[in-house]
Formats: sequence, C-alpha cells, structure tokens
Amino acid sequence: MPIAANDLRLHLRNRTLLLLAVMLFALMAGGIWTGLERAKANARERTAAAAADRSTWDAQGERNPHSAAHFSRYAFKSTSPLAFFDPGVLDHAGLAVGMEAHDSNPATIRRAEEAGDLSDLAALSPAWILQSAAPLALFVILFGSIAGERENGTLRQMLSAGVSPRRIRYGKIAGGAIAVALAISPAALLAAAGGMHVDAGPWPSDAQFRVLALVVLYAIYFLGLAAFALGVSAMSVTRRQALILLLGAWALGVAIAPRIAASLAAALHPAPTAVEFASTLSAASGLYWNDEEMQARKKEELLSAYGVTDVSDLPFSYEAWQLNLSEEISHPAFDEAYRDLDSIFRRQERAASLLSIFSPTMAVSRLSAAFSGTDRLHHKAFQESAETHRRLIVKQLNDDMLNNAGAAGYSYVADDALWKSVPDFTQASPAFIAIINAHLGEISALLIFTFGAFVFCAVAVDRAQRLEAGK
Amino acid sequence: MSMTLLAAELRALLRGARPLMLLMFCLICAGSLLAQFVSITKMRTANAALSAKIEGGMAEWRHTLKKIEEGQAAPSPYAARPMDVAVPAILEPINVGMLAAGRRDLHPASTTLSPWRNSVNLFAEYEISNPSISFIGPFDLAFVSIVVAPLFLIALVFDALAGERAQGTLRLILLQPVSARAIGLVRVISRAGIVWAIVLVASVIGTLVGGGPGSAHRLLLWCAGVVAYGAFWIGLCLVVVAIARRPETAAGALVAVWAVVVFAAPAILASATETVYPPPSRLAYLSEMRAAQVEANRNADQLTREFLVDHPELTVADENLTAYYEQAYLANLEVERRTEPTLAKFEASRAARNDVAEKWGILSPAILAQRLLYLSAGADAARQFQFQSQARQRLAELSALVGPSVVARQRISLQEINDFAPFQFEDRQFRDLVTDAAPSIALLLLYGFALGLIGLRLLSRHPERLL
Repeated sequence: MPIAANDLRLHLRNRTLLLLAVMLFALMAGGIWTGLERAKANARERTAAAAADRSTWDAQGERNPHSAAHFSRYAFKSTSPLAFFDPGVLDHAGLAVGMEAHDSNPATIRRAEEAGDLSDLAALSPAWILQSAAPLALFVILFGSIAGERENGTLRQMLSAGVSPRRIRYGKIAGGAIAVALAISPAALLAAAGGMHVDAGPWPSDAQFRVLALVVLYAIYFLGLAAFALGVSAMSVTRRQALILLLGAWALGVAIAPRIAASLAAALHPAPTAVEFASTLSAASGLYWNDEEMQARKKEELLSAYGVTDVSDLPFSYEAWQLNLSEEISHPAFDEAYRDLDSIFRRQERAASLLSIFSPTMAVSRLSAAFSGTDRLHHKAFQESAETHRRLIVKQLNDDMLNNAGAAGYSYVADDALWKSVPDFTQASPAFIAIINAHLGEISALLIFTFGAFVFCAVAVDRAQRLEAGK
Repeated sequence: MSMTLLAAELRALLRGARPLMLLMFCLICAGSLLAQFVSITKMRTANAALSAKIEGGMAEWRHTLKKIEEGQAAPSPYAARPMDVAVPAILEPINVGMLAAGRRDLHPASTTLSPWRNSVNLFAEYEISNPSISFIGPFDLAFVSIVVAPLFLIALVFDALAGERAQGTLRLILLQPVSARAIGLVRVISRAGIVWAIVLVASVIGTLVGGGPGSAHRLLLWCAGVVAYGAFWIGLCLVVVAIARRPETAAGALVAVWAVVVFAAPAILASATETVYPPPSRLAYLSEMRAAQVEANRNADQLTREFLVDHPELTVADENLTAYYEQAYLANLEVERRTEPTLAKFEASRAARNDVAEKWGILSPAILAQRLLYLSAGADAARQFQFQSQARQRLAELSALVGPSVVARQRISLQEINDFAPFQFEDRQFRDLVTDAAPSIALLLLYGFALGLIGLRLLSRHPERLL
C-alpha cells in the first residue's frame, strides 16, 4: 500500500494526470454532446419516415394488390439509445429496406455517404475517446512508473531496504491503476451521465446487461493496457525508451493496425461486388418466372389437383397463386444468397479479429459496438426482420388477390381496408446471449491480451528487480 | 561541411534499427498500393460487367426495334418499348485513384440510366459492403502519407539532438567547427527526406500500375500535396528538436501534436460541422418520392392529359397497351418535380459543411493534406457527388427523349436512340483543381517555412543556451 500511495502522490504532484484528465473530460463532453444530438436526430428521422410510410401506404386508393406489393412498404432501422455512446457501424450500414414483391432488397441509405471527407480520419464519439484517446493518456501516465525508478536508482534502494519484489510489483500495479482510474473516471462518469439524458427511443429490455457489459469491457481493456504499459516500463532501462516503445505501440495498435487488418481481411475473403450480388438476387427472384418449363409443370399439377382443365375453372385467382408460388420458390435462394454473403463477412471479421490479440482496440471496438446495439449483428437482425416482414406483407397482398380477384386477375383492385390491415414493421434485436456467442472470438482475444499483459508485467517487473538487485 | 554532415547522416541511417524501420515503412506503402490495386481492379471488372450487361440488352432491344421498323410484326406489344432503353453511367477510377480510395468505395461508381428510374432511386443496390470493414476506413497511400509517414518521421528524428544533449555529448560536438543549426537541419531534412522520398516513389509506382484514365497533372498535384505536408512536419520537427532537452520530451511533444493534428482536430471538426449543419434526412427524401409516386398513380389520367396538352404534336397509338408504362413514367416526372427542392437542400447543406470545413480546416495540416490528396486522386466526396449529379442530368435527358413516345404509347425510332450520346463523366478541369488546391498547398508550405524558420532561429541560439 505505501508503494501504491507513494506512486499516486507522485502522479498527482506532476500535474500530467490532472491535465490529461481535464483533456479527456473536455473531449468527452464534446463527444457526448454530438452523440446525443445525433441519436436524437436519428430517432426523430426514423419516426417521421415510418409515419410517412404508413400514411403514404394507406393513401394509395384503389389499386391492384400486386401493384401495391411492388410499391410496398419500407422498413426503417431503429437504433438503440446506446448509439449515442458508440455509433459503431451505424453510419456504414443501410437504414431502410424496401419490402417489395419478388425482390429481397439489401438495406439502403447509409449516413456515411453524406459525411464529408473529414470523417475518414476519425469520428468523435464517447466510445472513440475511450478506445483511442484514453489509452494514449494511460501510456503517458504510466511510462515512467518503473523505468523512472530504475533510471533514478530508487528501485535498487527499495530492494536493498528489504521491500519484497512481490509488494513492489503489486504496489506499482495498484498505484498505476488508481492513477489511470482517476484520469479516466471523470470522462467515463460523464458518458454515463449522458446516457441518462439520451432521448432516442426506448431502451432495449436487456439494457442493464449491455451497460454492465460495457463497464466490464472498458475496465478489462484499461487494466490490460495498464499492465502492458507497466510491463514495458519495467522492461525499459530509461523513461525515454519506455515512452517511445509505448507511443509506438499506441500508434501501431490504435491508429494503423485496424486499417491494415481490415484491408487484409477484405483481400483474403473478397466479397462479391454490388453488380454480382444484384445479379445473384435477380436470378433468385426470377427462378419461377424465367423457367417456362417449371411454370407449365406446376400448372399441370395444379389443374390435376383440382380436377379442372383450365385455370379459369379454379376457385381462386390463378395469377395470384402463381405470385405466391414464385415467392415461395425464391425464398430459399434469397436465404442462400444472404447466408453466403454473411459467411464472407464473418470470415472477414474473424480474420480481422485474429489481429486483435496484438491490437486489443480492434476487439474492444467491435465488442463496444455490439453491446451498444450498433454492430453488424444488429444490422443483420434488422435486415432479417425486414425480410420476414416482406414475406408477410407480400403473402397478405397476394392472398387477398387469390381469394377476391376471381377472373379479374390483375384488373382486380383492393381498397383502403386492405392497406390499413397491413401491419407496421417491428424490428427484432439479438438477445444479449446471442451477442456474446457471436463475439466469442473478440472476447477471447481481449482476455488473452489482458492475461498476456499481466503475465508480461509480472515477468518484466521481476526481471527489472533481479537486474537492479544484481547491480 | 553540410555535405560531410549529410554523408555521415545517410551512413547513420543504415545503422541500428533504422534500416528495419525504413523497410517496414516501404512494406506499409507497398501494402496500401496492393490493397487499392485489388479494390480498383474489382471495381473496373464490375463496371465492365455492368456495361456489357446493359449493352447486351440494348443490342437485343435495337435488333427487335430494327425488325419492327423494317415492317415485321412485333413479337409482343411489350417488345422494344421506349421505357426499356438503358444506358450505362460509369465513373471509372483514374490512375491516381490507386493512391487514395477516400470516399470512392462508399459511393456508387456505376448505374443504369433507365426511364424506369428517377433521381431518388437512380443509384440502387450498391450498398452491400461489410460495414464492419468499411467503417474502419480505407488503407491507402493517402492514409499512409497523412497518418503513418509523420509517425515514422517522428521515430527517426525525435533524438536528432536531444539524445546528445541528454548524454552531454552535444557540447563535445559543438567544439568542432560545426553549428547546431547545421546538425539539426541536416539530420531532420535527411531523415524526413527519406520518408517522403519513399512516399513519392510509391506514388509514382502506384500511378503507373493503376492504369486507366487520368493525367500526369494529377500526380504532380498529389506530389505537391505530399511535399507541402512533409514541409509542415519538417518545420515542426525542427522546432521540437531545437527546444526539447530530452528525447522523451521530443517524442512526447511530437506524438501529442500528431494525435491532435491527425485525429482530434478532424474528429472535432467533423462532429461539429455535422451537428451544426446536419444533412437533410435521406429517409425524408425517400418518403417524398413515395408520396409523389402514390399521388401520380392516383392522378394518372389527369397527368396524362396535362402531358398531352403540353405536347399537342403527339397522337396516342397502341390504345390496347396497358397504362403501366406511362404511369411509371409520369410518376417519375412527378417525383422529379417534387423532390427537386430536397435535392437542392442536400447540395446547399453539403456546401455549408464544406465551407465550415475549409474555414476551420486550416487549423489542422492533416485536414489540408487530406483535402489535397483526395482532390488529386479523385477520391473526394465532391467528385462522387459530381458523378451522381451528372448521371441524374443525363437521366433527365434520356427521360425527356423517350417521354413523348411513352405517353403516346408509341415506339421511339432507332435513329433517335442511336443519336443519344453515351454517358461521359465530365471531370473537373486541371485548372479548377489547381485553383482548389493552391490555398491548401500554400498554407501547408507557409506553416512549414514558418516553423522551419522558428526552428532554425532556435538552433542558432548561443551554444550555452542550446545545451
């Protein structure tokens, strides 16, 4: 304890800690302000779009249900209020899905497109501050922690005064951890306070688990980084060497590695181009309509099942029956197309995760977005909910035509009653446990890094003590 | 003396960890070029496939129309209809595009101009990239030049004088007939020169490998941007080298400035401009389109009558053809009419944000450099929006061409379609690029020279003050 208290006193005395805490706090205040404004604007935009979609849909007047199914409705992505803290991939994933007949459309409208060139370098958000700026502050606080004692010869003095190596090790870790906590806590508490004022729709039912997970995630991240920094400090003979190594590690791990990893992952597992994917979807959509032989066979089977010789003798609209059949035939092909795409994306993410062992920032970034409800898994859940809803709407409209069109076929028109009976889109969100399962790779990488950092720290401190004792 | 110092310095660069560091930097540059080569090749293949697909369809369409014009019966009333005319609109990556992806991968690089489409839904189905990857940002030579190169420079120069100061050997060196100013200048310039020479060589190689359209002028502009940004860092390093008495102070100060210039300032400015000048809602834009479509469908008869009143030369034929084509066409006209003000709002909002970014961007050399590099490589958002705007304009021209035939339920003549020129992206003139880029280049050079002069002045102080 005296070692930890002494370390803390030194940190407080040189004012670096205070300066860094103030800088982080100021950055966090800016990040929270912009985060809250964005979250509020996004929620408002989504609510207005959903309301406009409902009223436009209901105001169609008399129309053929299949024509209406082509016009159809839009699903708009709702986002978790925690997006104010970590917008994750939100701006790079589509916000709306057109739930059209015959076509399983990918999500469209990405906010990132309207952002200017500036956003390519960095985007201010509370999560970004904790992931990128706070580690730099942490390294600046801790770089001289043990290297300074070695350089000044005070480590040798402590050892010769009979202080056990074990006490020195834990004392240094405790002192460093408290100093780091003092620098980061005000900013972290401000982020928590921001969460209480977020006005961006309802919180998810598992919000308490998500918030707790975020707290634990960042605590582990900072502990791991603190242990790493102390290890580097102990390995270094001088403060200079420690600082340079830590700054290099920060630049590589936080600024450079994520881009290289992402680029490498995309090159190793190339995704189809938009044109290729559109062509796959188009082929899936036309499975029935482009296959005349299948159409003839299905027609024969239908006529024979009903014991009639002509479609006009069927007790329902043959055209609507075809529409339903074509949808059912396309469904597995759509599922396969999106499953294949998802599999490529997962492989890309897994490849990028492998590098997380060396750059925990990447793992933390993905986990933070996942707990905040702004990662690709949540986007995928939105896309899947939209596809489920599309099938429901299209079937409802086709069924109406099937039962009511009779011989009129495509000339049949339905009215407002049908449009008003079409339900609004509701979005499913992945359960907390599903998030954990989907991110086991990142969780493992982070734990491996943290454990490795503690082992490295212990070995490095013991080594430094041995070397100093041997002098 | 300077030449002797320079030779000694270059020899020193080949010792210790420095060759390894420079090799690593070369590999990073090569990696960024490779990443963009893969990306551009993929984009070109996709563009070629789209063009081939559209042109294949149009060849068939023309063949059918030719037969009909020659007097053969149409295979179906729906064959070779004017609404089915399609023209590819492609934004080909230029050769310097190899050096910066910038905003290129986020925006559509191709589309099909078709009367079935309108300004709102002209660009569709291009947003399929993995958001987990794309949100991290591209790994390109622009990123290497703006973010990574300064770090390598810092790693090479932070102890240019501070190491000897801290060890007390600077006093001995200054006893020789050599000034601290000459040592500092030679060390910083030679070390920075190597880093920036690698970037410039990589830029030339990348452009040569990139192929495709483009010009040497753009590469020159790019190189000017790289050199101007390098000048800022050289100036800054000279100041820090002159002031810092300990290597860790020099490294800490340089990395702190780097973090502020490269990350904090752009992040704060981007967030502030977006919060103060939020872009109009694209969801609202979509809703506007849908409302216009519904209204047009409900008033199809009236819209048709109005169109025919405006075009008294038209006589309606093919009365048995369904109203499907003309309804879709007239709905698109209505969409264009109603969403035009929203489109203008988008442009005004972008212009407002650009103005703020330009005004405040002078505070961060990284922002200036990014603007320059993106501009030279054709990777800036403005160029992508320019393509979208030109594609919309060409779509309007195509729609105006086929419109009368669609509403009159007639077929358009083959001659009229053949006379319709293919889409050709009109890139900004080099003169305009230079006009845009010149203030940023001048400002970066000014920063560099001002800092350099301060640094040299500090290095020229009395040796006792330097020590």
